[in-house]
Amino acid sequence: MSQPYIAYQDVSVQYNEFVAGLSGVSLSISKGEFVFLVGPTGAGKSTLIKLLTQEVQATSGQVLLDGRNITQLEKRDVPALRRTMGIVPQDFALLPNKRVWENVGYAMRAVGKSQRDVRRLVPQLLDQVQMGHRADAFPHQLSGGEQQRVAIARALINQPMLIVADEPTGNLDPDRSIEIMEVLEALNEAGATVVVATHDLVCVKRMKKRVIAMAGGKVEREENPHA
Amino acid sequence: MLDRLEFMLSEAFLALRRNRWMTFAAISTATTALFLLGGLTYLFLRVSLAAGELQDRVEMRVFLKEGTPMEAKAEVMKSIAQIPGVRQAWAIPKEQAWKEYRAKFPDVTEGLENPLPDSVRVALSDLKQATTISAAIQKLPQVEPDGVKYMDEAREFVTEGMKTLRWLGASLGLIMLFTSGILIYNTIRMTIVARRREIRIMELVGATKSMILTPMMIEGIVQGAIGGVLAGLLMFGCHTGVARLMQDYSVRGDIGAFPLGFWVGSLAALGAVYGFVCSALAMRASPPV
Repeated sequence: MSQPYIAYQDVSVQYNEFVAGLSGVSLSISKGEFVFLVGPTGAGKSTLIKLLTQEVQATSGQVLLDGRNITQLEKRDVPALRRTMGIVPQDFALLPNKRVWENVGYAMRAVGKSQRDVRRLVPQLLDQVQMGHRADAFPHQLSGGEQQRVAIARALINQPMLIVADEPTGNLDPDRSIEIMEVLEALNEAGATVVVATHDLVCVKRMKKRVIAMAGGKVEREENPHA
Repeated sequence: MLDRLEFMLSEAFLALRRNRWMTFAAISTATTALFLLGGLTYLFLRVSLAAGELQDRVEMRVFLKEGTPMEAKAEVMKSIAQIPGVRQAWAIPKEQAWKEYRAKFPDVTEGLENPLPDSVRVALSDLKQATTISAAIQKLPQVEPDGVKYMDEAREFVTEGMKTLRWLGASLGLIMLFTSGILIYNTIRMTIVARRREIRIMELVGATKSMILTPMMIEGIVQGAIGGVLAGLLMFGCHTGVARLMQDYSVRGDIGAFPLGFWVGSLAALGAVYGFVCSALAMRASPPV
């Protein structure tokens, strides 16, 4: 059996004396999988995501990404780790005074891509999330779903093999939520591993993907329609 | 590489434009601080130079007792020349002194007999030792009581003036430097708050710490450097103004040309270093990453 792409091995996260994020979680995700992390607030979904992006450090246990123990990473190596993945936040985090293409271009410049790369890649990325026609719009001129598409396009600037999304449909109505999930599914079909933390059980049910249900910082159950 | 630099510079200048009032406050205070510090340093240097020139010009006049024999005069000359801090000593016979005096004041001296004693002109190599030298000369038996005359008041004035300037420069300059430091520090902290969304995006996409922090460092450096350039120009303006006033009021002396390039460059460099330090402190206090 090949090694898992992502492996949490007996991971615990203690935020403080009274609050535990995770308690001895072990689970693995294969390359090319699409996984939903579900559960109520405080269940540990976001902590699992943040361990991958290294916004949170494990108190014990280890997290392996493509065979590499990322819990041992030095702080200075975290940006390089993040450049291997695309992170989609719940609140879109778009810059209101920049146009759609500038929002994506700005992120590209921030990771050292040239103006030429920006001119060449931004239209492709926007087309990938069906936002090419709104390239010159400002964020306030877009619907929530469109803004989240732009955020996804921005997450793709490093051509990541892993996409992590924390509540990407938290601010969207059901129809827009499905559209966003379809965009993520298309990226998954193109080869990316996708991990999505969500409350949106309607979407989860419709997508028919692997589901990891969390509760109280532990894995409560797993469902995999393809297993 | 150039692309990165261009991005960091454009981010820094964008932040400077965005926080324009804080930027204005930081630059103007840095200008005032550096102007005071630079201006007073310049003044101090000029006065030191003038004091050095004064030192070259300051001479003592030693009056000898009436009827001092020739051998004793030679002995006095020898003794004076051996005192540390004395550069040279010249004997001035009373006839020569009277001749010079009459040439200077012919009306007053008309019909008078020479009342002047023989004297010695003493040039000093160290103005600071004037009091000691004077006391040593006064002890010589051939010298008249209270027979050593020199510009002790002028010397005292210059020494005291320089002491005051040094204190004034140091205290005012430091107070202003501290104030401008707080302003630059606050501007950078405000930038961190104002740019938290950009910083978060940069972090999400994996921008390096240097890519995130360098624009803010540049911001502080630019504020300090602009303050330095303006302070240098202000000094130039004051120097020109003083030179013009001296000319208008026919004041003797030449304050010389102002070394504009040197001062603008030095103050800009000092301001840049200072801005860098303040930015670094602000980022340490509220780390953006």
